[in-house]
Parts: sequence; C-alpha cells; structure tokens
Amino acid sequence: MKPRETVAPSAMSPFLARVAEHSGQAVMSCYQCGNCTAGCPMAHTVGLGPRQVIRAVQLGLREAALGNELIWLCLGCQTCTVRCPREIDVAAVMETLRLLAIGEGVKPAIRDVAILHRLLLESVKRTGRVYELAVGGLYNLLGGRPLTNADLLPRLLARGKLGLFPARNKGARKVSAVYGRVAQIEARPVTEPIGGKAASRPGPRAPAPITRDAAVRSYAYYPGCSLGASAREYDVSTRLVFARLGVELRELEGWNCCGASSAHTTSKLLGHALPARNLQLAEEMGLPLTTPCPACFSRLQSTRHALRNSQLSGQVSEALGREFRNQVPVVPILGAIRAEEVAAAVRRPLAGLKVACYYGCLFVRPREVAQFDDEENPQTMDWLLAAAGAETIDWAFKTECCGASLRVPRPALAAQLTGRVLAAARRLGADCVAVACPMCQANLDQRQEGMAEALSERGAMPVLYFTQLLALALGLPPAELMFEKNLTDPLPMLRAKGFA
Amino acid sequence: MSDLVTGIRAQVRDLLARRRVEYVVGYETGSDGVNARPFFAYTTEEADRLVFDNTCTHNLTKYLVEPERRGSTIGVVVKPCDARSLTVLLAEHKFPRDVVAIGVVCPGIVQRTREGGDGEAPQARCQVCDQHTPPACDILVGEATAEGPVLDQFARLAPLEAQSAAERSAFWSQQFERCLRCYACRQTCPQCYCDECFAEALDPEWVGVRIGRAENWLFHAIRCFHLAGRCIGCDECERVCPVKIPLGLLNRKLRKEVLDRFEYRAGTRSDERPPLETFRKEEKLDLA
Amino acid sequence: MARVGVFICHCGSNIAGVVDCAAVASAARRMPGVVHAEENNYACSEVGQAAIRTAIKEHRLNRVVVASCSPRMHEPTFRRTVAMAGLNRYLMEMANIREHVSWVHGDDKPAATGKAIDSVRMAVAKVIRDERLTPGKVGITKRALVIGGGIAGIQAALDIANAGHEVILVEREPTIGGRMAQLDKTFPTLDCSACILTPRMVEVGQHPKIRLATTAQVEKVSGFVGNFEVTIRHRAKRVDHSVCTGCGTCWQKCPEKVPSEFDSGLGKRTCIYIPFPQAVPNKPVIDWANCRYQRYLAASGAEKKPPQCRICEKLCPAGAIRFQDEDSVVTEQVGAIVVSTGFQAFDHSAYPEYGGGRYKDVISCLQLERLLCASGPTGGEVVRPSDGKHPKTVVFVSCVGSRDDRVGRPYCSKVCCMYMAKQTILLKEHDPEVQAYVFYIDIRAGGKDFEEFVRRSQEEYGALWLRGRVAKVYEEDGKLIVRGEDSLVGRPVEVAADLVVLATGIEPSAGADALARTLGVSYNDYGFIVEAHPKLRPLESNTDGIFLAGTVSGPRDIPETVAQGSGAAAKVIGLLNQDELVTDPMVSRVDPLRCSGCLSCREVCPFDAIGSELLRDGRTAAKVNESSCKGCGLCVVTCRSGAMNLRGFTDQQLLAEVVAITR
Repeated sequence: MKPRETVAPSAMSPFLARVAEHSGQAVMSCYQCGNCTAGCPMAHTVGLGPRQVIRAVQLGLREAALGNELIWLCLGCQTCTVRCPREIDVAAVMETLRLLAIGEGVKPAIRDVAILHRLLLESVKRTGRVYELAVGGLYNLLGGRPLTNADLLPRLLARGKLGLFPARNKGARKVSAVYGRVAQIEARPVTEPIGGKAASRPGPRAPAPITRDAAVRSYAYYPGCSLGASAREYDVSTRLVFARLGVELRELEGWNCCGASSAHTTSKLLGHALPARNLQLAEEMGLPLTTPCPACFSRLQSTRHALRNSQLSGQVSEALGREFRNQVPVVPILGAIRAEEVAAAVRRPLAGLKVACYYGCLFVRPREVAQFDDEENPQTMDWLLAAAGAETIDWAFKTECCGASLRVPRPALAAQLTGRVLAAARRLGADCVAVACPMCQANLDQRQEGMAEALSERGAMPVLYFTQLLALALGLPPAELMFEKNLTDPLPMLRAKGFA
Repeated sequence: MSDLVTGIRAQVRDLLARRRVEYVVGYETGSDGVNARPFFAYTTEEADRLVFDNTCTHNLTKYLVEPERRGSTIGVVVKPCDARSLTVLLAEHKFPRDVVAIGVVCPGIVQRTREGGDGEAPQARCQVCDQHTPPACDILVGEATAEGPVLDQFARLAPLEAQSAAERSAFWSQQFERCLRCYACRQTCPQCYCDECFAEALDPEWVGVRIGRAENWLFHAIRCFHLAGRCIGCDECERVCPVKIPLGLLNRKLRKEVLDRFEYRAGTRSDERPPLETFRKEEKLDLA
Repeated sequence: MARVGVFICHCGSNIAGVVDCAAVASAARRMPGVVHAEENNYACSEVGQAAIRTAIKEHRLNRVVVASCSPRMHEPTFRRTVAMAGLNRYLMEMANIREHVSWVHGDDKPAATGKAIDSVRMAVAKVIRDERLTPGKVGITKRALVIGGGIAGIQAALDIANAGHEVILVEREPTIGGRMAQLDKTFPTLDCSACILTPRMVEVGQHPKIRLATTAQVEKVSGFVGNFEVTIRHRAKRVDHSVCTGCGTCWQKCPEKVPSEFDSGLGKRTCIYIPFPQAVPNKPVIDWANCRYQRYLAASGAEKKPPQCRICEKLCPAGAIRFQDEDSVVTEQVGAIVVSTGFQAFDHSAYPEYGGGRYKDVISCLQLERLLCASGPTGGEVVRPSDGKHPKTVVFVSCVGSRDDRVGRPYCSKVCCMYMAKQTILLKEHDPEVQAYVFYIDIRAGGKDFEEFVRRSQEEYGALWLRGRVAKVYEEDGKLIVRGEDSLVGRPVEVAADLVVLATGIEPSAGADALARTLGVSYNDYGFIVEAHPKLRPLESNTDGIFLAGTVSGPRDIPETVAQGSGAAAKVIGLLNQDELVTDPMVSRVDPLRCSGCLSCREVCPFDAIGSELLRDGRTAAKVNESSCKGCGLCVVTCRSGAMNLRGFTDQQLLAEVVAITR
C-alpha cells in the first residue's frame, strides 16, 4: 500500500477469514482503540503500527497486511496482547501474518530478519542448538549488513561470551530427524489449518499462583542454548544457588534448542515440535521441568497450552516419532526458588544494595499461558532479592521490552529501548539492574556507551543475573560467579558496597 | 446373643416403658428361622423379639411414611443407609421430628437365598459401603469404629459406562423386557411415598397400566429421575425385584451424576434439599 | 359439549403467502370438536374481530382458536374479542402460524401448510380442555417504599408524595443526595450540582408525606404487589436527632479523623460527622466502627488501651449523644417499591499499567470533581495530591473500566465522554493556564446540547482530544508520562502530565446484587437490575410492584435518571390509586388429594408464592398464593406426585396437544 493510495476495502473477505482461522482470534472484534500501538516498542519505527495492521486485515487489504515491516520487526513482547480490551491476542495475529507471508511466498518487508530466522533454524537443525558465532557471522554476510555488531565482537570473544565452536550435543541427529518429519508433514495438502481456535481468554484479571511446592526437591533442568554460551554465568550461578538451597537440578540429556522466536514464527509445527522434544525428555526423567531462560519457558508453556488441541498434538507426536503426552509441569526459575529458603540460608545479606528488578516480558505473559506472577507488575524476583536483604525499587519498567531478538539485526533500535529502561533505573537511584533473561542481560549490558546521555553522569549501570546476586547473599565466593563476563563492569560497584 | 441385640432390646424396652414412643419398628427373625423380617414392637415383652444381624436387609423407614402412621410417635431401628433415608424424608416433611431413630452400627448385610442356603457373600452395596456408623441418630447402638479405606462407590458402573449409548440402550431394553410392573421396587423404597404414583395416574395417563417395553422404560426412567438426588443407595429396589432387574445400577448412576455435578450426597444433612430443587448463585453448570 | 370455532388469519400475505389457509380451514373442519372454521384477512382488525364475534353468536361457539401471529402480539386482543361476545376470555387459544410457520418455513410451502394444520390441531385439543377462569382480587396497601436516596429516589419520592401517597425513603448513608451531591457542576448546562439538588433534598426532608430513614437498609422483603412486607434495619446513629440542633460543636472537636467517603478518599472527616454541609438530615451520626470510645469499650487487657474520649458527649449542649443506642429492626407494609440504589465508580486499582492506585497524582474523575468543588477538601483549588502544586498539564484517560473485556466490563458507561468534556472546561475556568488532553476512543455525546458542549471543550477551551487508548502511565521526574496513540494521525503519542484523571466507569452500588436477591428481582452479570423489557418496560423489574429508576439498571445521566424517577413514580401512583388489584388467574393450583407434602415446589418457586397448609386429615399440603404466582410452571415440573397443575396450561392440555399431533 503506497502512502495516500486509494484502497478498495472488502467486507468479510476470504483473507480476513484465513487470518482469523489460523490465528484463532476474533479479528473483527477489534474496535481500533490503539492501545496496542500505544504500548508497542516498535510502533515509532514502522509505517503501520499493530492497530493499523489489524485494520488492514479487517478491510481485507492483503498486500498491506502481509507486506508491512511490523510483522517482521515484532518483538513478541506481548504487550499488545496483554492490554487489548477486546482480548485479542494481537501478537498471535502478527505471528500468523508472518507465517502466511512465508507460506504464500510474499517477499518479506525486512529481508534480513527473515534471513536471520532461517539461519538460526538451520543451525539448530545441524547441531540441535544455536551456534551463535556462525549464525551471527552468516547473518552479517547474507543479510547485507557486514558490520552489524562487529564492534562488540572482540569484547564478546575476550570474555568467552561466544563459543568458538558449536556446543556438543548428543541429541543432534535426533533433532535433524525431527526437522525431516516436520517437513514431510507440512508438505501434505492442508485440509484444515493446524491449531484451530485458541482457548478463550479468562475474564477479570487475577494474579496467578506463585510459590512453589516445598516438597519438590528435584527438577529436570533445561538450560537453553544461551546458558551454554553467551550466558554461562547465569547457568553457573543458578546451579550454585540451587545446590546451596538443597534442590537438585538434573540437566536434560541431549536437549535441543527450543526454537526461540525463529521457529514458531516461521513454522507452527516446528515451533511446537522442538520444545515438545524437551518436554518428552523431562517426562522420561519423571521430574517437573524448570528453566532459567524466559524465552525457553515461554516456548515450553505455549507448546503445552497449544497441544491441548489433539490434532496438533498428533502431528507433533508424529514429528517426534513418539507419543507426546503433555504431562510435565513447567516452572520458571523464579518460581522454583522459595523466598523463605533464601532468607533462611542467607549468610551475607545484600544490605545497602538497591536493585531494579527487570523481568522482561516472557516469564509473565500472556497470563493464561505463563500462569505465573502478574503481567504488569510482577513481584517474584523482588521477593527473592528482598529475602536476600536487598532493597528493590518500585518502578514502571519491569516488563517494558528490552528489544530482545532485534539486538542482532537492529542493534540501534534495541539500544533505544534498553536506554529507556536503564535511564529509569538510574533515575530511581538503583545501583544495579537484576535480570532473569540472557537476552535482556545482553541488551542491557552490552551497549551502554551509546546511552551515556540517558544514564547521566553517574555512569554505567551494572546488569547482573538475579542468581548471581542470590549467590553472593548465600555466601558463595564472588570469584566463582563470573562477574568478569559483563561488558559493563559490575565489580567496582560490588566492591564499593562490600560484596566482592 | 450379640451386643447389638442386647443394646437394641434395652433401648426399646426403655422407650416403650416410659411411653416415649407408641411402638418401635425393628427386625425379628422370620418364619424360616434364619432371615430377619420387619417387626412392630408395641410392648416391652415384644421388645425381646427384636434382633439385629447380617440379614436385616430391609429399609424400615419405609413404614414411617404411610398415611395411617401419621399422628403416632414412632421409634425405628436404622442401619446407616436407612438413616440417610431418614434425613431425606425429614427434609421433605414426611414425619415429625419426634421420631426416635435407633441407629445401629452395621456389620454389613449378606445376600441370602430364601432357602437359607449358605451364601454369606455381602451384598454389593455393603461391599463398597463407607458409612458403617449411622449419622444423626437419637440413640446409637454399637461401637462406632473408624471407617476403612475409601472404596469406589461406583465401581459397579464401570462396565456399563465403558459401553456406547447404543450398547447400553440394548442392555436396558433387555432388562426392562422382563419387568412385570409389579412395582415392588417402588413399594419398598422409602423415598417413593406419593399417595398416587404417576405410573398409576389416569388423568392424565402418563404411563398407562399396560406392560409393554415403552411403558416399562418410561416408568423406570421417570422413577429414576424422581429419585435423583434423593436415593440413598440402599439397593433394596434391586433386592426385591422378582425378575432380578439390576435397578441398583440405574439409581447408583444418578447418585454418581449428582455427586459429580453438585458435590452432593443424599441423606447427609436434614436441612438440605436436593440439588435439583436448590439454586445457588455461584452454581454454573457446564451445559456443553 | 365443546363447540370450537377456528379462525385462520391471512395476515395479508404474511401468512397466506406461504400457508394454504383454505386447506388449513378445511382440515380444521374435520377436527374433533370443531363446528366452524373460517378464513380472515386480518383477524386483529376491526373487521376481523367483528367477524369472530358474529361467528360466535351464529354458530353458538363456546371455544375459539385463532390461528395467526404470536400470542405475544395479540393474545390480549383476541381475549377481549371473545369477552365482548360473551365468552369467558380464557376460552380462547392461539395457534402461531406466523412466527412459527410462515416466517420461518417460507421455502417449503407444503410443509408449512402441514405444520400449520398440526398447530391448529394442537390448539383445538388444548382449547377443548380450557376452563372458565376468573381473575382474583386483592387489596392494596397505599404506601410506597423507595430504596436509595439519590436524585432518582428523591424525584420518585417527591412525585409519589405530591400525589398524596405516603412514602418511606430508605437510604444507606447518613444523608440523601447520592452521587449528584459529590459533583461540582453538571453537563451540559454547568449548573452547580448542589444548587439544583439541595432544594429537592430539603423538600424531601420537610415533606409531610415522606418518612426519611437514613443509615437504614432493607433486610427482607416478602409478599407480593400491593401487599409487600418489608423489614428495615435502622442502624444506630448514636445521636438523638430529635434533640440535636445541628450546631456542629461535636464534629469540630472530634479528634478521630478518617478518609472521607464523600471526598472520594481525598480529604478526611471526623468520626461524628455530617457528610457534607447541606446534608439532609443536617444532623450528625457517629461512625461507630472508627469511634475511639468504641475501641476503648472493645479493647480487652490492660496494656495499650485507647483513650476513652467521649468528647462529643461532653461538649454537646443539647445532650444528644447516645452511645448505648442499638440498631432497630422495623417491619413496614407497603404496596409498591422503587429501587434506586444508584452506582459507584469502577475501582481503577485493577489497572496496574496506570499505577494500580499507587500513583498519588493519578486520580479518578470523582476525585477531580471533589477537587473542583468549592466545598471540597481543597476548597476548590485543583492541586496535585502529591505536592499540592497546581497542575498545568492535565491528561484524561477514557474508558477505565468500560469497554474492556479484561476487567469484565465490556459495556460503555455512557456519561464519561461528557463529564470529561465538562471537567476540561471547569479546569480552564479554575486556571486559564491549564492545558487539558483527552485520550478517547469514541466520543459519545448523544443528548440534547451534548455535541455542542463537547465542541466547546475543544474550540473554546482548547482541550486537545486525541483519539487512542492510553497504554501506560508512569512517573518520571515528578511528572506522569502518558503513553497513547493518536490513531487519526497514526502515531504513538506521549504527554508529560502533572495530573492524570481516569474516566472510571459506572458499576452498580456495592450490595446491589444482594438487594436484588432480597427483593427477588433479576440482575445481570454486572449487577445491574434487569428491566422487564429493555425497550418497552424500562421502569419495571420482572417482579410486579417493584419498579426501577436511575443507574440501578444501567449507566445513564442525570436528565434520564430524573425522568426515570418521575416515570417510576407514575407507575407507583397508577398502582396505588386503585382500590384493588386484579390478579392473573393462569396460576398454579395444588390438588390436595395428590399432594404428598414434600414441598419441593416451595423450594423451587422463584417468586416465593408457595406455602403450606394443614388439611383436615392432618396432612400437610402445598398451597399457592395466587397473587404472587406468575404462572412460570417450575413447580409443576418439579412436582413428582403430579399434584401441581397450571391453569390454562394443565398437564392434561399439554398431553392432549402431544397426542393430537402424534396420533
């Protein structure tokens, strides 16, 4: 749709019906209030915001709906979904449009993002996990953006944040096989769209249950790709904390990448098959599953939620080569640690440390899938760090998107978003930001020089995993907690406060 | 002589002696010398004929709802299941509260053939009974003991529930084909107390007197629904059926439905009405 | 011997265009009991009715079947017709061959005709078994009860009282006036709300025919139209109003201060208090739950006993304080009830993205109203609650708790667009330097002068109306950042505000649903009481004799509310002006011979119309109160003994209908 071009709207078009059916959303009930656009982190950079894209669907304007930039730049932060007064899962509609665009061969408006997703999936197909160095490098080449993130490369390599070689994975061949079967299933003629209608949204908001069952002392552990490479300190500190609290973490053997945002936005079936394989591995261990990475958690929970549909579940079982029973409960790491246990085990309280707890979006959204904490003002991390003796601030940016996966293709945009978050934390006098997500950590930590203005003269804001802070409080030696991995050095602040 | 019998006789003698009741409905040993039968004790001497053993199968509360017994103060010996009938009937104003319920801790009742043969097997209802101590009785005879492990009250239904609707329909058709419309099931059930039963009404003629498969179906189906939420599971209807139709299955199935949908067991409280007669604002039925 | 006449209406081409009426008539003639059948072009017309009456006389008919439209259309019409011809009006049945046949089976005329014949056959079978029914009569108590003393209740009470009937006006709060008393000015005239309300309040307080009961609540209602028995709890005021002069010494000296409900939590009031200066009655009450003396009495144990206080008692020159007072419960007889319990504002703490109630400078519209009001907590100075400074940038957020499925409020609250416009004007009047922004989704300005009023806000008072919902409000550097979209230009928008006002929606007053259950009237998912018919009977509930006025049944503005108050009063006056009420005879009846006395019918009756009686043979049987019974039939289907029957729809008739089409 060119600017100011006269359009011919159609009512109840086949395109609208297709989008409604595939996404399971009542697109016609949108009354164009604009809440989604108002909350969208990308709205200021794209031609058509989410409200306008929905309008294009409503009017049957297929080219505008499938050819716009937003469906490729959508971060999947679910802010739109959480706020829509007609309870439309707007993020799901964006995802559906992207899938339809791919399926119908529409040229992606943002070509390099499409390439990035393909590369990531290809990496997973070969090795079962994301080989970040290769994906990033090939993206730069093929996406025509050779210098993207090149400035960060030396520092990331020096800190061991990028594995030089792909991680060894026993399950690699099995994952390849899954891809093969998915391709076979998708090649069949579609008689009806996979997935069907989404479950209806719940009515008036109620916060979800939070504390974990004290009786659970063992979890199956799904670290996710980042924790083996760019977020190793998260993995290490998590294991140390759990060990100190006497809760066992048993890593899934041969686990594969959950597919992150690439899989489910390019192939619905693959997007569920990849997480489902990990759930099956957990089921064999007979333990509930916990994961520190919110993206992985979101994929696992979404898959559990979506696979209540028996047709989809059947296809996933076929793709996996084994029946998928969907019985393993998945607990985000914030829910697997009990504040009382932390308080009881604290040896060196974090007194005098003012922390801004940054949750990111995927642990708590959308409500009916995550079923954890509060979508707008979550509290679990705050409780844990308060139990460790820290002072947590009450701030409005707990779930504002950090820029997530866009940090590779659009680092400048991501930096804008993270700049606001850090500036808010700085203004409220926080000493550091605590995170629970590898992508949030990377985004907030790695480009702070460009945000000098936002951060004011007081300088950089250290960004630490909450497990690193908990580990400090539990008396674990700072040297084991890999503080040197951060690009924005937290040690001066920690030393000044007497914690390191 | 068992403690239960001593206890009952003593209590009844006392009730009659101080004229607390005019008579007591209990059990005595029948003419075959083995199986118990109902007995009306009017005097303290007659009290000594009372017995209680594992052949006391009858639900004696049936006698309380008869019209000619109104106006009399009565005592009744009740097993736990019978006591549940009492609560249902009290809630439905069928007799005044001055009825004296003599509850007996029940060891379970056996199936006995009329020939007095050896079948000591407990009745199906007793095999899954989870209430051996009668609730809410005026007098308790016997030692209340802790209940055993919770048994599945509805295990008997499993084979039928596993069948398709067509299969079940065929099963019951076969059963009802035998029905003679003798109404023994209705006559023995305490909760069936209507002065004019719908099955025998002529104006309007709901069912008709003719013995035919359609009429038999209709009679049993309507009776079943009239008992929904009120049947306490004594299974006497099944025992008395001369052609051995497994009516206990039907009524137990409705007991299960009521329990599942409304979390309600008939006969637990006398101030409660069955779910089909009560509305609660929080109630939301899944009508899908 | 039944002599049935069947009249088949063509309804122009509505019926005749699909149904072969001649064939129906011909089939009817052969039905048992039918002695006459004729066709009619428009049976309900003068001509048509005359034809029916003529036929009744000519053919000595004693039963009539009219095959035409739905009884909901013309049952009363045809009942009158047969009554005029000398037949009992209940010896007429209708077969619906329009809505049930010609309007839905237009694609298959032969089948439609067959169905029409079956309908007529059923109606004939039924009408043969119709009995002559005579409506009953019952007396009326000439007194009205009005529940809720806001403007709706005040208007209703005054109109009823001025028509000469006694009124009891029950109000939960210590004063009447309701929400309108909290407003500064009203749209679109910008009248001072208190100025137009308080004269009415005084009139109510002084009216010889109105008995005002404040701090009172209705606890129980039984009976039926014209004959209600109402139990009212008069909560103890602990001040003797017959002695108190309203001098104000007590509330000036009371040391215990709590947040003021009247000021929407922005200011404080004392424990012995009048809610606002023009309160009616203008005498204080004691908020016993917060009173220091009450806490002293309730405290047990030696340590930390609160002071005894009792300052009001010591200082009262009239000796009017009565700490020992208890609630009193009184029963009244009334003939009609008006429910006007009003609304409360949606609690915006359900929106964490707007601060969830944590930000002091994010306030509700009612709170802004109190700030604007000269008799408010700040004397009419609009200041930020956080620091007392005058805001220069004020942002309004619309649809907070309205049009929002997430918080369970999908409906529009109707008045918010208008009061936002009003508040932008008033803000500018208070401070010409204020710039107002209004984030709206749609502007709903459908009343008289409403659209012009909104234009004034935009054109004369410079308020900037931005079309888009607000996604988030957060604090930054002492300002409130409001993030929304202007969808008309298609861009996200951010405004740094000093004060944010949330247009909180309307929901029924707390306890309205419990009151509805007490009264036995229906209410919807949100607690609004349901009208008997939303279009044609907006002031009646589904219980005869209980009328509705104001926001109790849905969001509405002051002109509508006042109109409804007067309308409800007219209904009440119409009822109370009669000497006796005619009751519908199509009610349930118990056959005492069959009744087993289980009283299941009484349990299920939604109208409390069934009781019990002792028969001469000592049995208890159910008994139907024919005035309360609405003929819903629930008791009939519940009765296992077949003792309950519904006149006009007896079991015998229904079975006859089934037999008629199955044999």
